[in-house]
Amino acid sequence: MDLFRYSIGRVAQAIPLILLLILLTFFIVHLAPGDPVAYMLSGAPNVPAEILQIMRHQMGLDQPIQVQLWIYLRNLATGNWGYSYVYDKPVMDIVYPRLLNTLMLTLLAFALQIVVGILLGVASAVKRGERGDRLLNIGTITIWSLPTFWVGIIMILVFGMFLGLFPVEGMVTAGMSGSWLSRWLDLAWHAFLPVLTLALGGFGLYFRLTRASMLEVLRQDYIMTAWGKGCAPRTVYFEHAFRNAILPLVTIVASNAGYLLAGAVLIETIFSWPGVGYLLYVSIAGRDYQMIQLIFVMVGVLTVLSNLVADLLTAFLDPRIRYD
Amino acid sequence: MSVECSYIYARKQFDRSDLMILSQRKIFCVLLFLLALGTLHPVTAQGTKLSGGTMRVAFYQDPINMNGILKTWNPVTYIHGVMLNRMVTWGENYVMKGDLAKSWSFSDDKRSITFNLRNDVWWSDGVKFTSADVKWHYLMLMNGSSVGKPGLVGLSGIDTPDDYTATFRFNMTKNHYTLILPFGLYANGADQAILPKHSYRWGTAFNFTDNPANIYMSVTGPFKVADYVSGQSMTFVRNPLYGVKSYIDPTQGDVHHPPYLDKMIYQFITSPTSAMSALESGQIDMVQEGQNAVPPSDIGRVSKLPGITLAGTPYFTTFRITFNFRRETVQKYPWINDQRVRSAFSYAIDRNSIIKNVLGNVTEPVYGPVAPLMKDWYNRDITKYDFSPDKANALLDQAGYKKDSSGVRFTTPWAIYTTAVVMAEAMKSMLADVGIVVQLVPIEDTTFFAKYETGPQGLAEYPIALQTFGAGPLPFNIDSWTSNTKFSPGGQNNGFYNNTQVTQLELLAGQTDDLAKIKDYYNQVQEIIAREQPYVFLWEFWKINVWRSEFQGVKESSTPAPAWYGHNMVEAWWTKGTSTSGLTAQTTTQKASTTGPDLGTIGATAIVILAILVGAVFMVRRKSNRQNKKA
Repeated sequence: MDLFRYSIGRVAQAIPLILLLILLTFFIVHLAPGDPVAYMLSGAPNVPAEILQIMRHQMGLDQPIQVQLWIYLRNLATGNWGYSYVYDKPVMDIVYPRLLNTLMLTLLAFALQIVVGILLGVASAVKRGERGDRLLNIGTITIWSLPTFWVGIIMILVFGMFLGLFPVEGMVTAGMSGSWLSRWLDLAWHAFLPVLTLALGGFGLYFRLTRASMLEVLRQDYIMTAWGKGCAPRTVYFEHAFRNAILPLVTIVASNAGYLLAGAVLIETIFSWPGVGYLLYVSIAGRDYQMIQLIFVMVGVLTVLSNLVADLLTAFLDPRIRYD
Repeated sequence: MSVECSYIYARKQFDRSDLMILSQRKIFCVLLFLLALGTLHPVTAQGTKLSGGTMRVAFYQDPINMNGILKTWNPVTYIHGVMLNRMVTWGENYVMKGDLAKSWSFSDDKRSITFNLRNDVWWSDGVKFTSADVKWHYLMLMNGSSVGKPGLVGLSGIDTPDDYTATFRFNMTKNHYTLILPFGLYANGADQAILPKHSYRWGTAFNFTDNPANIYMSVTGPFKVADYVSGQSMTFVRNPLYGVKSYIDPTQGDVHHPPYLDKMIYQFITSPTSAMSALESGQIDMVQEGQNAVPPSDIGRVSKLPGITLAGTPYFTTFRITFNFRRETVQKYPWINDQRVRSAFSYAIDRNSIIKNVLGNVTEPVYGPVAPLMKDWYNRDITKYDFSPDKANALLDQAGYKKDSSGVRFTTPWAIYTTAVVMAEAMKSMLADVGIVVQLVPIEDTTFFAKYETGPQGLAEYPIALQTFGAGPLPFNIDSWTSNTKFSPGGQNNGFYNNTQVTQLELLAGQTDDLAKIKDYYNQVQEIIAREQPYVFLWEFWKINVWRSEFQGVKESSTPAPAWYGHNMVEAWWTKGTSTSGLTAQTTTQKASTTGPDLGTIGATAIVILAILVGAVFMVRRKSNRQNKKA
């Protein structure tokens, strides 16, 4: 079987998975007690019960769940992802700009944790047993074991409140005007803490994986041969060892791409970053059903696709893997 | 050799110490300079009200749409405070007073109400406010399905004989209160803020639902929207005509000056913790009331922060413990039916201690169904339940619930909102002291509201629940949770409290316009409920605002009426503003921190970088010294 056929087969497997995901998401979201009306009117004293009924009728929430599901699926078939009860707009109109905000945050963090994690992992493996290796091991395990939201709060306390170096909320300074450069700098200034927090949360994984993989490879016979041939250390480490050690990393990096959306929920909430994660948090509290469904499905699809990409990449990079 | 070596060593020591002294001096000077830079402010504080500046407000939710008829929810109600007015509003002690209406009168047959409108109000774009706006607004409201619509049930027509008179005719007889209430406060109040008819003109037609005016509308209030970024912020600038042509402030009477602030920026921060962090780090200036703007557990700490002002605004809802009289629940927990046990709950809770230690001393204890701040309606003679564990123990003993060997009389689950855990924990330990062991069951707020407050089974399986409900501004508001005609889900009586006498008194009060009689009926209702204790009334729900003390006049912009409607901020001013005379001019002063890192931030960053550099230099020198020594 060639790579093309293998890819088609994997995509075909993903389609029913995504359909199942859509159905499951619909039921899970609707099974939660409460609805958008309850959210919008909670906290207001003396709301007449008839108003709750009128609003539920207007939103179609008084329909049986199977009718709501049918309407949802029918809309999906026409490319309509639904309408937000809270925002009074098509959900895609709300999600799209937030998606860009989230990707800006998560891609930066993702890149940072991969680059730093891998570089330090290689360095640690090369200097195995030395003081630097021991320090890196202890440091990364410590950081990795800390909950990301806690790290975020500490970042806010130290860099935002005590030192006052960085803003603790938002993506831009509200009401700011100025040149495009000052706006970009302002954006970078706001993004620093959330990106760093997100990056710290994941970089331990890449460090550990790279280190373990490098150590495994460095024990192989062909590395001994390379040393024996008199290759320079740089050639041995990067030409021979790292290229072979990277294979398991590719799989992990690709399959972790699903977290590009899902992983940012807590960080976006803590830093009030107007992304998809923050939107999901607000939408769950507001029972904004179709918004939640869209985000869940997006995360699900991204996870399925990233796993698919991971499989294909591994198959592509390692000629020993058979496509069956 | 040794002489030479010691000379070289001494020379090295001299050079090094000399260099270090010079470096330290230089570093000290640079640090001093940077610190001075960081503490500089463009303008010093003045004692008089100054104009100019921007106030950045953290608010819990993007309102999405400022058209309250289309978007009838609380965030709109709050933010309307700075931009729109209603026909009537609440004044001191929650007595109704005119807002856009100067006065009003009822027809003899109690089927119509006539408003005399103010003739000195202009919309921010220079168009005069008239009765046409009022008529159009209420016709749009009746065409929709906002929460204010049921208050106008029976509306058969709106007459506008001239520009400043509007008569609302109904096809049924109502009492004075039900005639006036829908024009100032009904349900959550978002749809009663009068919208500008002319802003919705789209060519020759009106476009109501999809119109930029739903955000960028003309206003009668002190500020108008200048910029809106969905999910992030809403920027308001001064209404140029406020205080020049139009002057309304329901809290202060007529105001003859424009707002002092140039701008207000509402930043939408959902997490109360994040909002408080932003306030404490100086990145926003105020956390405005909203859903848990300041978490109850944080009120005591925040009230002691230097440079921060925390103020509570009395509000007409109260916290209470509701007993569930649903038949199935009483069968399982028979003590619910025993008045002595319910009273013991009330005696066992030290309200004043919780108010002082948990709630930052910003509220008052409550013992009956009507909030004490409703001074005209509150019955001061009702039974009070001051903290007394001895009385609680005696009552429980009398009721037959003796303590077992471990000091426990009975155990009960207790449903609470997740946001009320801290105060519930305090009550839990007090109840444990008299032998009542409660197991707290925190339930997410939206679920609680949907399932237990408005669901068909009321509190269902929970024998007690911690809740907040309306206890004013009129006594009629308590009917929805005390009358036996208002059982859940039709009403808010979700504990199924059933007292025919209470219901009868409330019905009688609703049938008369005689204030003395109404007061007498509700005095009796309050006495009965305080005596029977179907609820343990705890304390008033105060709305908490917190802001940086460099802003003043905030409280004056909010007390008392807009506690419901939100602040209008017309009296708020910045102590670092620029002038007292340029009130009508649009000043350009901006706080440095609103346009990126300020001098303080740059200074602090430089200090950190400098410290790292100095550290690195010392490390390198130390290493080279070691190497020299080895050599």
